[in-house]
Amino acid sequence: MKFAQSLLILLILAIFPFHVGVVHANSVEIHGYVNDDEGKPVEGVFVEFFSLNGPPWIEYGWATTDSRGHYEFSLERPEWTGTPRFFGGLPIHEGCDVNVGWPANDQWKVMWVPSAAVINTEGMNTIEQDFVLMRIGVLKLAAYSSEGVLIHQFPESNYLSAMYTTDLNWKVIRSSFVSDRGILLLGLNVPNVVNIPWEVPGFGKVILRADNGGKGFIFTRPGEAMVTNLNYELARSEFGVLSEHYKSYVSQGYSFSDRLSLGIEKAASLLDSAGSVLDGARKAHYSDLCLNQTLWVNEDMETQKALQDIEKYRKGDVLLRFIDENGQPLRNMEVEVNQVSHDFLFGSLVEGGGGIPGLLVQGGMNLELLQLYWSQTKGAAPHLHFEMFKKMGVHFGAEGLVVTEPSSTMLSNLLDLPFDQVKSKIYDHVHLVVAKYAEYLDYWIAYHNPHMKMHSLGFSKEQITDLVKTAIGAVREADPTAQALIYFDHPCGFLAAMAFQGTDDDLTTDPYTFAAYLTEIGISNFGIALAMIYGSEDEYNGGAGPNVPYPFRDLSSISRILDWYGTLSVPIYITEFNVPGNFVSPLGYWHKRSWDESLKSEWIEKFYTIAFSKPNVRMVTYWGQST
Amino acid sequence: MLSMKTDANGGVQFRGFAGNYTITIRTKNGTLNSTIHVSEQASQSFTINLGKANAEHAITKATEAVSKAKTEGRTILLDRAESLLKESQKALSEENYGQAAVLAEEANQAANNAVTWLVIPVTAVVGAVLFAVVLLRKRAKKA
Repeated sequence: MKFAQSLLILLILAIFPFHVGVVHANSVEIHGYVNDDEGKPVEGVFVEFFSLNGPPWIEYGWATTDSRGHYEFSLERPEWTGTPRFFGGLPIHEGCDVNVGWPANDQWKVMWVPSAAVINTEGMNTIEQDFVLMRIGVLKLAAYSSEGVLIHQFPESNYLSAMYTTDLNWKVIRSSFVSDRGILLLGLNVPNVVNIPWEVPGFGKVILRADNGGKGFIFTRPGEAMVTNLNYELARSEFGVLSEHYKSYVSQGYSFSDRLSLGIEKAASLLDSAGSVLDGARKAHYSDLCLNQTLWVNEDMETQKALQDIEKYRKGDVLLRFIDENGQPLRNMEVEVNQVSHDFLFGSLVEGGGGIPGLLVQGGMNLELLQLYWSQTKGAAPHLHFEMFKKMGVHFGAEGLVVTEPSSTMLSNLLDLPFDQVKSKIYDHVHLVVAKYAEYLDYWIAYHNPHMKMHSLGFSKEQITDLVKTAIGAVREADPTAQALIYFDHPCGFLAAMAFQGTDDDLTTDPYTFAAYLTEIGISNFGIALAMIYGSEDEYNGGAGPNVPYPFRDLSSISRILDWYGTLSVPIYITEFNVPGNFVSPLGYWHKRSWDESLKSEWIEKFYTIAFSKPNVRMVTYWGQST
Repeated sequence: MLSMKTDANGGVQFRGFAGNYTITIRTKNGTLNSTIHVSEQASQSFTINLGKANAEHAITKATEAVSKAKTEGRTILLDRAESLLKESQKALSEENYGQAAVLAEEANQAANNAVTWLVIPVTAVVGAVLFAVVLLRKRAKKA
């Protein structure tokens, strides 16, 4: 009987084949709640749905929230794409991009989060997705072009995020810029400093700051609004920084040329003129003149200070005493003193290897930074030339141990693994490579850009921290004398500011904050490797998204950013610096749009002077000698 | 490169970037080199005893001469060079720099004079040939 029953079941299964599991419908239902950061429902904001990849971004439609903050939307199942969009460090092949927070009544009270949330629809028919939006104040920017024309609409698309906000240093604060309205949405009860690539006629286009007279823009009520003349605020802020630092430096004993104090007086006078007129365009005109004067003087001041700091921090006093075999002084004897090596590391990275040309060694380069990425360490050992250069006093370092960016070949070997296996794989890889080259290499970039959710492999902040600790530990265990470094792009937070992913992203932060967090939780024995490339010779390419252009910075802000990182009290290695060979980036240029050899030399000399003057900086590596 | 002359106390001062430096001193006996390391933000003092430096220089030269002799297989009479070298090192450790330098110089000469064992058969063969030539000439004259 039992046999007959089993036979019957098998017969039914054979006649009526069916799949056990979820049947994928042609449409996907997405619903959820939008609340503010106090947990209160947000009513009347749009939740808009776009294609996963673009441009062009295809709009699927939108929903609005009701009085409970609830929304629901049904969309036709998006097509599966072989080119995934990486979100939260994981590839998404089927899904949609979500913009949330645009108010239906145009009354801004919560953060608008554009293109920063992605919903994965693969294998799902119904998705519950909640959003938490920050309550904000609104800063309306009245900005004038260098021709005196009021800017009604700022450039959008890729450069929309180029405007970003920080605290009075460069700690990134999440904000949102609505370019076509010229408004910045800023979180409540924190001093916000606006950072924006801004063209100053006669100086260049560099990231400048508006800090509201050194106080930051502070809003206390949702929807509170303020209008500011951006040109004037930039001039007031940049001059304020110059004036404050000049006084501070003089009180510390630094001396400056007369032209510097005259330049400050002139800038102060122009700022007074800007402050005394009411007409917006004229105010902007005087402000631009003040900015020009301020920025030139500021660079001059920081360069003069750097030269004095080099004397102070980079040198030592030596007394040599010569005696004969009886201990009697040897008078009037000729002595020659010749420096044969530098403690400071003047590095060079030649893309694709090839080593430092002998000429560079003769010119004082004493470190070669190698590229030992996953793909370069998994095949035959690269042909290197350690012995020859070691005899010439050259040190070696390498970048590329742990890289989890979407374009990384290492990533595909880590995706879909549980955390413990990823951790174990990272330890094994780092230990193996470092041990292999322990005899020659002294400096290792152990982990690249761990401070952004886009590189997180889907893991939490605590887990990423654990992986960083693992990589540092593996370097130290494989070679106790080696220096492990954590690499960061854009120490000013520019990249992090545009890399927030989702409204609940608690990992993405500026490099300073992340490095400070590592030290706070007891991770030590690491240095930080900073990429300080400006002007866009090498475009960043996340692999799946559009290129993000590199802006430019003036030398005085670079000097202050390095001073700020100096407060971390960890050694700083500038592992990427170069001269822009061209100006692909529409975001910035320094002094002239087109550089001749003279301007390139000036940029190199002044950058090295400033970096060399900072006591915590141990290395500057000229990265990618291709032009 | 800095060029200076020592003052009344036999001293020179300078301020330099952190790194290694060679110090070259010219004396009536020749040129001596010394190496120092300068550290950032430090005040360092180095005393260079020329007698000591001279002795160390001589010992280094003698050590190299002994090694060279060994490599070339010239071990006859090398015992004396090694013995002198040991004595000079002892004198150096006892801060008797003049004596150390003299002994090291002697060790150097002894090492240079050392010969290989091959010299014995070669000398014997050459001697025998010369003897035979002289003998044959005498016979030829008599004939």
